[in-house]
Amino acid sequence: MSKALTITLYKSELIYEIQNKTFLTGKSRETGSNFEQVANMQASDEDEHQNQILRSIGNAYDSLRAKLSSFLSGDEVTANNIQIDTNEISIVAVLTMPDNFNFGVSEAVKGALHRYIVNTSLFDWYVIAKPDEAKVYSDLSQNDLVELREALNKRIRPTRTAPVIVP
Amino acid sequence: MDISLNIKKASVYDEVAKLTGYVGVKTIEDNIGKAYDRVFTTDDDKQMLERFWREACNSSTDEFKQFISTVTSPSNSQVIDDAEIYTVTMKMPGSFDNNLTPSIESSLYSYFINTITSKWFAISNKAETEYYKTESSLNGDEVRRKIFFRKKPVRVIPT
Repeated sequence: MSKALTITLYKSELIYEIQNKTFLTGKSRETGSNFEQVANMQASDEDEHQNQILRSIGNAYDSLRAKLSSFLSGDEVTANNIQIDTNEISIVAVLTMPDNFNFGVSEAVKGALHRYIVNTSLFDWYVIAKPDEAKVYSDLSQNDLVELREALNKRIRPTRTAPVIVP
Repeated sequence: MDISLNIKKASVYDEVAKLTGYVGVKTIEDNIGKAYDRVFTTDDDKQMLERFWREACNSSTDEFKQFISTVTSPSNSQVIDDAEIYTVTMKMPGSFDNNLTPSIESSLYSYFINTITSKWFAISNKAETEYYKTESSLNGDEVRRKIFFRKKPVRVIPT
């Protein structure tokens, strides 16, 4: 028997973390004369920034779905390459977990999914905005995947049910 | 977010005239009075100042180009119009701090004055050229620093 693990990732939280990290990184890289480069490093609400970030979030989620395929079920037979909807509030992943999955690690699964999407999006962002900052986010996203797999493979120990012996 | 910066040519020319007049008066030379005549900008010098004004407009437009929605240009670049106002309207990102707009305009105004003065002094008073060139460069940096400043992102807690 299987159980559903529903993870809701709010887009606003993903976008805020990406914007905040790029904001802080830009601020700490100020030299006093690189105003334009710092501004370009900081992801904002400008259309071209938003489109890049939404596309990266969509790509990261697609990549996650492939990696989590053994826990996903669905009967969709069509797909398209339209960027994720700006008005869509959240991304919902419903994972079909085995009966002995340790649901105590649900938070860890949620955290790893969030971080993977953020770090992958930051990698995409910095490849464009500041290539020398990009690799660290690629490495972090790989660590997130390891942690995600570890969390998804946690199982509860079996409990022995003593047989009732009828005399 | 749209912002608009306006620089009045007449006001810039007044400031340049005041500045050059003051520098002329305060410059000590052997032939008393000669420095003032040489350094002060008069109405007769406007042909030359016009070119410097135009160059300041062009370099500002170049600096702002990635944000510009509209920018004024003279209907006839061969005619001098003292009432001209350089107006640039820019579409700024949402994280731009609109509180900085008046200060940007003020720095841009100083940039126009100092850049025109430095170019004028390159002809009339070479010793002072470098100072005003440096000042105009600092004004340009001030404008850039404020234009490219971004506010911190705001977290919207999901409901």
